[in-house]
Amino acid sequence: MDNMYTEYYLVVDLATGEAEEIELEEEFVQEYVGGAKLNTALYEEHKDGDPIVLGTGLFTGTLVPGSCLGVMTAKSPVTGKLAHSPITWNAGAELKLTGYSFVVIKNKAAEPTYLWLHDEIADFVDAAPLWGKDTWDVTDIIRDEQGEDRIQLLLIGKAGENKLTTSQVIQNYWGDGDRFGFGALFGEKNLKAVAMRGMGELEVDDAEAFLDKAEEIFKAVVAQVPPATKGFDLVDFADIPADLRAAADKQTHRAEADFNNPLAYKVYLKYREDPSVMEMSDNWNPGVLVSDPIGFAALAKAGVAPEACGEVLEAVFRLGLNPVAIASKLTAKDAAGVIAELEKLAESSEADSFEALFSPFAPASDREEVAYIAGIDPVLMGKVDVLTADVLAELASIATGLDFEADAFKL
Amino acid sequence: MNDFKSLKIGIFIGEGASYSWIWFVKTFSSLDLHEIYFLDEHDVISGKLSEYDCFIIPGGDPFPMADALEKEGLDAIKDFVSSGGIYLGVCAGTYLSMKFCENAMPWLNLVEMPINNYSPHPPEAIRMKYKYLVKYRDGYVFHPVRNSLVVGNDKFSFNAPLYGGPPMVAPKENRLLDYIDFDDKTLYLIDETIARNTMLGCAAGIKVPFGEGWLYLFGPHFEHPHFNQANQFLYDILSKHTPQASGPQQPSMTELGGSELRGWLKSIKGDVSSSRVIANGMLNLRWKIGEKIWEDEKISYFLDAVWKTIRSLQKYDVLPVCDPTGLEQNAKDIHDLLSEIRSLSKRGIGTEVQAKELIEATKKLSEGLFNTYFCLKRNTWWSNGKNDRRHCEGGERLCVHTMR
Repeated sequence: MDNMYTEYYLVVDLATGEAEEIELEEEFVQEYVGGAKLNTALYEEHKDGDPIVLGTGLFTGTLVPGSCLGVMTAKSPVTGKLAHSPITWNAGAELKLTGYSFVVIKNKAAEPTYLWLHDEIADFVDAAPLWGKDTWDVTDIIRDEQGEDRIQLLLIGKAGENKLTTSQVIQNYWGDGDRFGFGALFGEKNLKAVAMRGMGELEVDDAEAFLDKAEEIFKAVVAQVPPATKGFDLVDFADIPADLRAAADKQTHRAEADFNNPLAYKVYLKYREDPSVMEMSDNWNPGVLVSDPIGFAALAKAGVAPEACGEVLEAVFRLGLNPVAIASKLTAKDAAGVIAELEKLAESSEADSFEALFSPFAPASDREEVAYIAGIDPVLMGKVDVLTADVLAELASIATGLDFEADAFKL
Repeated sequence: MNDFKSLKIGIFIGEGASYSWIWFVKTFSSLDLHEIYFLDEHDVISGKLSEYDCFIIPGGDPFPMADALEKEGLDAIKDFVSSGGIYLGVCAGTYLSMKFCENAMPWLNLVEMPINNYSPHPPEAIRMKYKYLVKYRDGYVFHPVRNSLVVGNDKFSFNAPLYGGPPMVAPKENRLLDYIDFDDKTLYLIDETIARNTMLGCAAGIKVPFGEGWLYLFGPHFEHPHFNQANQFLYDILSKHTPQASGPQQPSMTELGGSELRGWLKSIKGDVSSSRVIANGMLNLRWKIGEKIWEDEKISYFLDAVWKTIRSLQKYDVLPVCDPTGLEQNAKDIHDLLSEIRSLSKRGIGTEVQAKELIEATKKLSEGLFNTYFCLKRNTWWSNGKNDRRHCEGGERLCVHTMR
């Protein structure tokens, strides 16, 4: 595939330690476009290996607003069916830039392993020393080991190692949208982490026209959601209780956005130092990024003291738990008590089953599947109406030189 | 018709040469000039220049260049030019060739040419003080501006980048191009008025006869691949010359193919990729090696060039490689050195020693891969000492299997 994607995708067999590059053909992309749809095709092709498919959308990593989304596809141990979880923040774009727009991970490693993807290279690295460590420590260790602080990771904590359905795959230090227990799949495969870093470049067929169109879309997006709106004001769908919001406002340091996303809805809270201080201090872990506002709200609704919710969310992420799945199982209210409970829940707990194809991380919308195929943040997709299938089909044709219709962005 | 594309061009990449020689590689490749070879001081000293039509000394640091070349090497260069060779000096290569003050260093001194940026009392720098001055005898060479500016003559003008090259006070008959103006990308290291008075109206490029040969001495880097008109100017200069030299002797090359080639490329690619990751993550490291300041981004630049070359070589089923084991070790050394530099610098420990080794290792790896690249482009490589023309068609893509 010459444009918008990498030349190859990767099929990894954890059992044999082999990684095979397969050419990503234009016809394949024209039929399945990308994201959840193409992931599903790859899943079906490699089903015998109980695969986890990490994929990117057609627009992931480009100038299209909200083009941060990668997609994780697998058979969920929670729903029992094929499901798609979002990879947001920077990991979606980084995956594409490693040189592999899609990675199929099959079978099970004999020993704890992490996959290190970098510039069309797939290394299998012994993760035995990392097994048992929390996600924050592992992120720091792998970044130090491989020499770059911008390495993006998808990894599991103790909950995933214990193959719990209440686990989630964490992105660097923060929870993402895995409500499907994919952390358990990683644990089942002895896969501690997938680390990614790439200096890849993407080609665009008609670059000028693509840029013009992307800029036009950006202006339309910003007209609907002005940049001044940020943080918790953007996530009304999370239904954050008033007392939690009041407590969080006192701890708010800044709002952050995913790769190329005009919506800065992720709020960084500081509870170990004064949140008004902007300079870097010696305190390496002053707080937590509320990357999962629904999960954050769930803790408060379960009775955790509002001012403690940030610190509790940190512990949830460190252990690789899904906050929505464990919230109802909490009885303590204070940070220390809750964190002690979380340690036990990371040893043994089970998530309630539910029905969904896409993660309820973001509100369901009629354009959710468009978002997951195109590689656009579903939160943004739900907030603006300019990113329609017709608009994206036109943009896809410009970018690839191939013909796409709106129907292509449906499963 | 003059087949100037058969000119045998040797580029100096020995001690003191900075990464800018890679620009020559990229530009010559894009201009379909493939008789490109690489020499170090040992090659010059041992008399290899007679095998070439044109010898290029690129940017870098003339002090270690001269030290490494020694009197023998400097004399060899003089003999080469006086016997009909073309000397092309850029930036450091220009300073190395000229006598620009009374008590000049015992370098080439092929031409007496005053420069306007040498003074015992240089102007005050307003930025980049660490890159602004170089001590030379009783005075300083100072650099008034950096980045793009406008050069030209009464027929044409174009933009070209300057990174320390001299404004020459040259006689009219020797001038090819003058510094005409600055542009919106010009970075002033001194007051703009003083910079204008120092640079504009002086020669940016000159042509001087020396014996039966020619000196082309440039301040700006006309070989920079982002400046097409400057590249064309370089091309036009070379096109006026007729190839005379036989070319270098055939080096001993190993033919790699099949699984052996795949394994070799995989190994090098893995180490280069890992090195790129570390290099791109470095934060504003700087090393003073000799009189030259090396920034960490220069290492990234080397590695990016190596990376792109590896990717282009992946198309082939068979490759001629000089010392594949050595190159594989270079790649590993680069990775290890970068890891060490990262670790030491995080602890606040100096890394000049490692940086110097790293620069040498990246040069060797680049040279080895570019040699293979140009060998393929020339459509010849040497087997059993014979000049054996073989065609290398692009084969199937390599499938990289990574084993634990």
